[in-house]
Amino acid sequence: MEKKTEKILDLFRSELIVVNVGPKSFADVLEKQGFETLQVDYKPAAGGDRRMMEMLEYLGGY
Amino acid sequence: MNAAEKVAQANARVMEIFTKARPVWTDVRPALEVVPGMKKNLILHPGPPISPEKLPIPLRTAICGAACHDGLAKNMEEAWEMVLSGEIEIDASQNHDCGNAASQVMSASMPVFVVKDMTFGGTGYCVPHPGSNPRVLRWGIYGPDVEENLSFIRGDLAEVLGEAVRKSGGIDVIRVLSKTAGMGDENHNRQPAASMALALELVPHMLDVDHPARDRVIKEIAANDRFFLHVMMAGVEGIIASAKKVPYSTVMAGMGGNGIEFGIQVAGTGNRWYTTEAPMIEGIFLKPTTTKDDVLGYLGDSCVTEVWGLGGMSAIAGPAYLRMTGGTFEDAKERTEKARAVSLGEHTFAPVPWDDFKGFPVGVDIRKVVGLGILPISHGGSALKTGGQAGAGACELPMECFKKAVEGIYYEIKGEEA
Amino acid sequence: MAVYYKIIKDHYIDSLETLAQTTKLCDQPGIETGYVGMATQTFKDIVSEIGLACDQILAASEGDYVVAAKADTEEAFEKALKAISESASGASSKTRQTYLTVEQAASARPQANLCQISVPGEFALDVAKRALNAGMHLCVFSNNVPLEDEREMKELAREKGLLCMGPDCGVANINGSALVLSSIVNRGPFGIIGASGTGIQHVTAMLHEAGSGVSQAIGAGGNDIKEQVGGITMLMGIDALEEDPETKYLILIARKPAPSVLEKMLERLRSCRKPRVVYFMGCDRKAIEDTGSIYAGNLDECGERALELAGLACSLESEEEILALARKEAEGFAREQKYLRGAYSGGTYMDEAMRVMVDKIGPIWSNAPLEEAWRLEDSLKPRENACIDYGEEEFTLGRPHPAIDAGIRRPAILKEAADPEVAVITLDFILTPPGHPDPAGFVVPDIIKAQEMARERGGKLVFIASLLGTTADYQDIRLQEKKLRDAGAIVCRTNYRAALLASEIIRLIREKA
Repeated sequence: MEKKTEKILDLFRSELIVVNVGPKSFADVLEKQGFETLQVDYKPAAGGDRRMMEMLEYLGGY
Repeated sequence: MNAAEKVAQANARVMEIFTKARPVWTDVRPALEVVPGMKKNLILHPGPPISPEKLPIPLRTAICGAACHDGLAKNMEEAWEMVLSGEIEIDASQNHDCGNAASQVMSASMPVFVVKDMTFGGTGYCVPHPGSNPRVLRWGIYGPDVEENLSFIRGDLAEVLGEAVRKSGGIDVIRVLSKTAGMGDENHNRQPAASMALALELVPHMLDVDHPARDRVIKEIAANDRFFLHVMMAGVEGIIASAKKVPYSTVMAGMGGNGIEFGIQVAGTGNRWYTTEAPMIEGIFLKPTTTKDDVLGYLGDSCVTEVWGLGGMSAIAGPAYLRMTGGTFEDAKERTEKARAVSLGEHTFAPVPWDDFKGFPVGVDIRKVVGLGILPISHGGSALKTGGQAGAGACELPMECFKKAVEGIYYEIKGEEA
Repeated sequence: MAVYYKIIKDHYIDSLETLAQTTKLCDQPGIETGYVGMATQTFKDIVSEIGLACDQILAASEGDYVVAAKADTEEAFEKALKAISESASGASSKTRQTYLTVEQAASARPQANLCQISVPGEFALDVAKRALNAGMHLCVFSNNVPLEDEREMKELAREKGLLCMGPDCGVANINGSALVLSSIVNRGPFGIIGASGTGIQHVTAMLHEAGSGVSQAIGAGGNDIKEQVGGITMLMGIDALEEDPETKYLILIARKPAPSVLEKMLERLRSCRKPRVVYFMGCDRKAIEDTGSIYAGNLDECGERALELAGLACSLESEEEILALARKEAEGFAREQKYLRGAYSGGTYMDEAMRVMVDKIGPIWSNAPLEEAWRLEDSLKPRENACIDYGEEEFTLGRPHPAIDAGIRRPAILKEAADPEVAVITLDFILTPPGHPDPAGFVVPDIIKAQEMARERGGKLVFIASLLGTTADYQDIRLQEKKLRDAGAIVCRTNYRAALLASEIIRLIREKA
C-alpha cells in the first residue's frame, strides 16, 4: 500500500506547476518567481443564480 | 436511485447513442410516406413551433410556396388564408424527426432523404439541398422559377437519387466523415470535402440508373458543394430520435430558430422546446449594402449538426470558415474549447491534425452550460427579413434556453418523485 | 459633468482587477470620480453613496460588471473605458493561455500539481473538488468558506492523500515559491505548519533574515484548528514534513486549537520524531513541553527557539534597548498628548500588539478588541488608546487585503494625527509579491505631514513601524525600512517590539503626568 504521505512528498519532489483560479495577478507573481502557471478564468457558478445552483445540485452538479 | 444518479445514467446512455450511432443513407421517399405524423395538409418549418401570425416574411413565403407546390392552394393569398384558418397546419420539423435548413419548409409531397441509424434504429429525414442558386424556397423565396426547381427535385432528382442510393445498399455517413477528416470541413456551413466524398460513393451508382434525367441530376449533385449538409441533418435527426427516448438526460437533443424565436430540446424531455428570442448571427454580409436592421434572427434547423458535435462545435476542424466570416484560427480553437468545456463526449471518427489529432466534442450538457456560464457557439447563415440570404457567421446559443431547460428537467424529475 | 455608465451582463471580474481599474479610471482626463465593480449589494451601496447610482445599475445582477463615472463628456467617458480595458488586457505581462475550467487546465498540463483558488467563498468548494478530482493539491485563499464546506474539501483531500492548504490560507511556501500573500524566503531546513498566515510569514521571514530558510511552509487556514474541521491539514502536514528528507526541524504555529483538536495535536506531537518548536497562542507551556516539543510564548520567541535548534540566532532588539529608546522618545510631547493609536493591516499582528499594550497601559479600544467591553462603537472614531484592524470586513468588503490595497489604511494616518491627544502611532507593513510595490513610500508623505502638524501644535508625533517581509521580497525590506526612517519614523525589528516601545512611551508619559 502506498504511504498516505506519498502524494504530498511527490509534490515536494516535483517541479511546482500551479493552476490559478482567480485573479491573474496571483499567477503573474508566481511566473515572476520562475514558476509555471496555468490561468483558469473563473466565473461564479450559474452566474451567481442561486435558484439555478440549487437545481443543478439536485441534478448532480455540472 | 436519486435524481443525480438517474441523470448520470441517462446521460451515459445518450452519449453512447451519440458516439456509437451509425447513420446510413438508405432511401429517398416522399415525406408523406415516411415522416412520422406527416399529413397532406401539414407543412413543417424550422425552429420551435410558432403561431402563423408571428411568422417572419421568409417563412411565410416558404410555407405558402410549399402549399402551392403541393396543390393545397391555388395561389399565395389563398395559401396564407388557409394557414391562418388552420386548414393548412404548421409544426416544428424537429417534432417529426426532420430538419429544415434556413427558411426551408417541408410539405407532404416533397422527397426526403431517409437516413437510418443502424446501431440504435432511429431514422431522420431532410429534403435535398436545392443547389447554389440564391433564389430558392430554402431562403424564403417563391416564384415560377423556384416552383420549376422544386418540381425537378420532386420528380427527376428524387427518382434518380432514390434509385442510386438503393442500388448502393446504403451510404455510411460516418465513413464519409472519416474519409474527409483533416480536409477542412466543419460540416455545418462548410462541407466541400464531404460533398465530394459523398459524390464519389454516389456517382457510380447513379451511372447505373436508367433515367432520362440521369445526367442532369449527376451534374446537379456533383456541382453542389453543400449537398452533404442535408444528408448529415437527416443523419443527426435519426440519432437524436433515439436520444429523445432516454428520460432524465440533460444532453441537448435538438435546436433551431424560426427567425423570431430560438429553441433547444433536451433528450430527457423529448420534443419539449425551451425558447427565447432568436439571437443574431454575427459575421459577414453577402452584399455591402446590407445592414444589421435588414437581418432576421436565427432561422433554420441546420444547427442540429451542432447538436451532434459539428459546425461551431468542430470549428477547429474547419478554420477556413472562420476566416471567411471574419474570425481567426485562434477563434476557431476557442470555439471548440468552449464546446469541449460543456460537452460530455468526443467524436473519434475524424481527428483534427492541427489540433494534436484530437477529435471534437459532442453532447452538450445543459447543466455545464448553465453551471460554467459557457455558451456553445453555432455557425449559421443569416436571412434577410424580406427573404434571401443576408450573410454567414456564428452566434452564441442563448443562455435563457439552457436555464429554462434545466428548470424543465428539474421539474420533470421532481414531479415524478412527488 | 454628468454620470455615465457601462454594464456588461454576466461578465465576472475579480475585485483585485476591478480595484486596479477603478484607480485607472479615476486617473483619466475628464473623469471626476469613477467606480468599477461587480453589481453586488455592496457595490450598489457604494455607487449610491458617491452619487453614481442609476436605475440600470441598481437593477443589475451580481454577475454583471459595471463601470460608472462622473465625467465631463460622454467622449471622455468612452476614452476612459478604452483606457481601463487596455490596462486590463495588458495586466498580464505576456499573453498566457487561459482555460475555461480546472478540468481543461489539468488535461492540458497533466503535471500541474497545485491549484491556487481565490474565488468567492461560497464557490470555493466546487472549484476545490474539481481540482482534487484532477489530482491537484490545493492552496485555497478564499475566505468566508462555510465550515462544512471546509470540512468536506479537507476530508476529500485526505481521502485522496492530497494536501489542502486553506481555506483562508494567505501564506504558504511550497518548493521555494511564495504563494498568495507570502514573503519570498530562502530554502532551508525548517518545515512549518501553521494555522495563522501572519504567524507563518513572521517566522519564515525571521529564518530568512537569520540566513536560514524554509523547506516547506504549509498554511492550514485559521479554521483548521476548530472543532468542526478537526485539524485535518495540520495533522497531514506533520505527517508529511516528518517524512520529508529536506525538513530537519518542525515549527507549528496556530491560535489556540479547540480542546479536541489540541488533544489530537498533542497526541501526534508525542510520537513525532523530529525536533520541533510549537507556538499555540495562549496554550499551556507544560502541555506543549510534555510532548517533547519546545515551547514558544510568542511569534518572536518561536523564531528565536527555532533558530537556536539550528545553532543560529537573530538580532532582535533586547528589552533593555527598547526601554532605553522609550525613555528618550518620551520627551518633547505637548501637554495634551497622551494616547497611542495603532493602524493595522491584519488581526494577528493587532492582537499581538494589543496583548503587549494592555499589560503596560490598560484597556485598548478596538474594532476587534481583546475584551468586548473595549469595542469601539464606530471604527472611524477611535478614543483614548486604540487600535484599528483595517483588514476587518467593514473595510475590505469588495476590496482586496490591505497588503495589496494600501489605500484602505492610508487615510488613518492624517486622521489620527489630527487628534491633538495622540502621541504615538504604530503601523505595520506587509511585503509580498502581489502586494503594493512600495507600501512605505506610499504613506511617507502623510507621515511627514502628520509630524509637521504635531510640531505646529507645539508637540511631536512618534511613528513606530514594523515590517513583515524579507530582503528577497521585491519591495526589499531594507529599502522600505530606510524610507520610513528617512521620514522620521522609528522602525522596530518586529511587531511585538514595536508594540512594546509604543506602550512604554505612553506609560512614561502617564508616569510623568
